[in-house]
Amino acid sequence: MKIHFLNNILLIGFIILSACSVHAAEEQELIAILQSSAGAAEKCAACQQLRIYGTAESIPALAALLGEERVGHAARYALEGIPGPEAGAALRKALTKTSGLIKAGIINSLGWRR
Amino acid sequence: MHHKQMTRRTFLSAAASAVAVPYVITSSALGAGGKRRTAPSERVNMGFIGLGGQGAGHLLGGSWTYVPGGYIARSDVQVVAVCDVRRERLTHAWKRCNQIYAQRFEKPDYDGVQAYNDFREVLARTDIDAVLLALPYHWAAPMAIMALRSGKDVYCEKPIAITVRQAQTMVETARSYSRIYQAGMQQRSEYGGKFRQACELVRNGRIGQLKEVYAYRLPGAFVPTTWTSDRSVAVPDGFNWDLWLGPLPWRPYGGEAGHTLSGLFVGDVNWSPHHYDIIQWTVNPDPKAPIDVEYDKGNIHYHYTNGVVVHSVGYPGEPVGGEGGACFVGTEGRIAVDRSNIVSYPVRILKEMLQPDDERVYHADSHSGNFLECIRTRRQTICNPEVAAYTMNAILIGGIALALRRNVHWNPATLEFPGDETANRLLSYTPRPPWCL
Repeated sequence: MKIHFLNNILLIGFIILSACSVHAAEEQELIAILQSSAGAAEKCAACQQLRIYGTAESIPALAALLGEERVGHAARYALEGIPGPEAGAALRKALTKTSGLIKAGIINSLGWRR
Repeated sequence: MHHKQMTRRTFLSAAASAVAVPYVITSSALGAGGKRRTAPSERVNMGFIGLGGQGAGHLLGGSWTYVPGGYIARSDVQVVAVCDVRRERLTHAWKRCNQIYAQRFEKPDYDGVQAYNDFREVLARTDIDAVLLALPYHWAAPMAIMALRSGKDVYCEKPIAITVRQAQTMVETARSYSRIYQAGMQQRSEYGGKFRQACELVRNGRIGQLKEVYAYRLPGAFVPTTWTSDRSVAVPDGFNWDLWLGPLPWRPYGGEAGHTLSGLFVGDVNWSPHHYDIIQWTVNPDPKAPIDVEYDKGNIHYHYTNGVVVHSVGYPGEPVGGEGGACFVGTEGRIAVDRSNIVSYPVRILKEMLQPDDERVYHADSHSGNFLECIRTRRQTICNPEVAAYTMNAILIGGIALALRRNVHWNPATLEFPGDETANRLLSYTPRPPWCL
């Protein structure tokens, strides 16, 4: 009985890790798109996915796009959704490198993350 | 923080109570032939923002509208502003309103209705008491919030919000600024009271214990699959595309600008508010109790703690319910209702009158009338912010389950999915600057 229970635990753990591995692999692909010469629409689509599934791994690639006119909004959308202090830190760091409406948007995102 | 702004209405009320003067019937209070008209101080000065099919229908009347002759026909309303990002709609409404008033007041050069392209100019007017918003989905909550903050009472067409965070911000703003707000879920008030009748019969146990409800409509949520597009066509002359787009992600005008843009929503956020509002009204769940949302092959089932299950599909074989309604199934019968019909099985359920000591729900016979009355009395409307938000949130959490293609567990007390970080990421979105909540 005990062995059967432990086997079930291992099986559940394997399934969870497998799902995480799938998401991790997808996240790396999405990061690669952000760092490529893909067009704005494709990079925004990658940001949409990272809003839902992104982790701290995505933060540097997203932060690098915050100042871009077409993609910056989508990158901020993704960063706003990633929990943890790193995403907030990336947004705060971007304040010194942006201005105007882009900066106003970042301030707004930081307000929501408080 | 409690904000109580001095509006035109509150000033007049305070002034009248401070100074006693003989009552004089002014010329503006008397119409042709000496008929008494509503005094200017008793009329609600209104602005109408969004003049498409819904907005123009509210304002001027029309074949679909439940406001005969529109708000402009009401003697207790003074239309003072119309607003739209499309010049042809704006010009038509502006001319028509001034024509109607010119005839009514016998002033051929009447020009008291002003036209605006930018809603912020309407909200900046201190002489406007209330606004009616009939907007693309993404603008409803942001503009309602701005209107509430600028001291206006608000009638807002559904869907009243596209994220849970928007709905909650609206609720908090209305409360903080002590504003009257009516959501455009008029079925609680209109259609001969059918929906109220169904609600009261079910609540009073006429079908036994309520077990299941069939909603005939999927819920929905803002989960964009197309953030932006490169498709670009010439912007029509007189159309302010940037203002129409507002808080949505930037894209060039691609020929599409109706209720929304394609690729932004899953499920249904447009018709579903009508269905799910009546359902919430009738099921009457504890507003703080958790809800289990079950995803099942593209359909949604809501499991409430009172034992009721709400299905997003129609009741098999029952045609009544599809037009804004639902089918309520209990241990001793069922009732199906929509805008055109109400039926019960067994038939005797509908023939039995409610008793004096039976539970009654908020009674209103006119959704617009209820809004205007509540502006005067400051009583909560029949579709007040909390009611509207609870209904919209029910739709949005179902839409999130659709988007994720799995079950979710919702806590209305904390407005989150406990421990479900992925689902929680869909409770808000990031507006395009300069727009923000």
